[in-house]
Amino acid sequence: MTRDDEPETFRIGIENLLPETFGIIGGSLFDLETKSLMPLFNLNITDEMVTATFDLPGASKDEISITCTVDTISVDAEMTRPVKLRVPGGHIARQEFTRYSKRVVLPVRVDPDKGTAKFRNGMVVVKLPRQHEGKSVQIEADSKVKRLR
Amino acid sequence: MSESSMRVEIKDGGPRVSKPTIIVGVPESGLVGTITCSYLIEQLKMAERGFIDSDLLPQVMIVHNSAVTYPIHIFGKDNLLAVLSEVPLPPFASLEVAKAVASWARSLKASIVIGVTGAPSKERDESHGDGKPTVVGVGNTESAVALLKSGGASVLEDGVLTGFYASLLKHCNSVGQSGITLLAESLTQFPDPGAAASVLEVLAKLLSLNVDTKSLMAESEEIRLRSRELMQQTQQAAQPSGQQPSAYR
Repeated sequence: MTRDDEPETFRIGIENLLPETFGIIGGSLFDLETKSLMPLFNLNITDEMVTATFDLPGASKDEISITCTVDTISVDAEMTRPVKLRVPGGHIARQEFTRYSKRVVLPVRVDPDKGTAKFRNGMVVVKLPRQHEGKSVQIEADSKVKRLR
Repeated sequence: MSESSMRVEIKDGGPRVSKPTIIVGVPESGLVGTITCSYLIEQLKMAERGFIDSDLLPQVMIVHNSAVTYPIHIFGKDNLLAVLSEVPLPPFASLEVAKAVASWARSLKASIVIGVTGAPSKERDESHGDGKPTVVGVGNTESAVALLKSGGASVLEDGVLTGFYASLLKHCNSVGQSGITLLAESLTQFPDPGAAASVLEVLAKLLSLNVDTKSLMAESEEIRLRSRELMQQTQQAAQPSGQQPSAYR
């Protein structure tokens, strides 16, 4: 089995182990079935913002679609022209690719309605504000903390 | 691990050269070193004359045109030599290879060893590779610094070098070999041909080489596409320590 045959969920699992450092650890860079390249990408997470940068050399600016949910970012892009690249395994001749496709599962929740995206030098940068939601927790009336006061 | 398996072997079968200049490129930040070196080798039509091998290296052989080659190549033309690694060097291997290259350079009575690389730059990441990155240089002797200045390179005044190029400079020092490291501000995690072009311009000036960076920029997309895997492997190799490959601030 090549890495291309691994189910998507497994790859996402690996990526989520180290989400705040590098986004590109593990995972295949090629999907032969759909003739798509999985772009190099980087996730940067601060207290307020998630910034995802995708490297899409050769992508056409007008043919990029970005979809966000509370915990995923998907980027699909057509290339201006097909490219032929060697794929791991070496014995196969060069394969042709026509597009980029990548779905990143975020380790934190974001507000998908407030996302912004920029395309420059073949790189797409998606910024999404983080959603901080939580409920306050009360200390129980008979807890030690209270009795100490 | 036995003593012998830790040794780094340099096989150089090329013609004798007098006081060579040795340029060294290994994969680190933005792959600046490897992109610069490969382009230089291609532009100057340098011929392969040897390789570097060690048991410390990843178990990889490269096949080019049906011929099996070692992943760290030595190329040469006239008195210019280039060392180019096609694999990321794990930390310990990186140290040993740096030592071996410094000693080998000294044994050839090299006039200078020039490491070329990128320095991860937040500004460059934020501008998404726009504009022309700054190139700074570090020299280990007065003559090395003078050479840097004569080529119009800015000399790094305060900062920290880490990784392969730090070891290379250190071991050049310890064997009495003149050495320089050129660093271009680069993208941290994506291949950066723009940063390589900046380094190349400084290098061409330093060594009076006739190298045109126009086609490097024209091939930029192609280079970024072809070097995706090496970039990924380089990130993976750098991951366990969690350190940036090399840096100046």
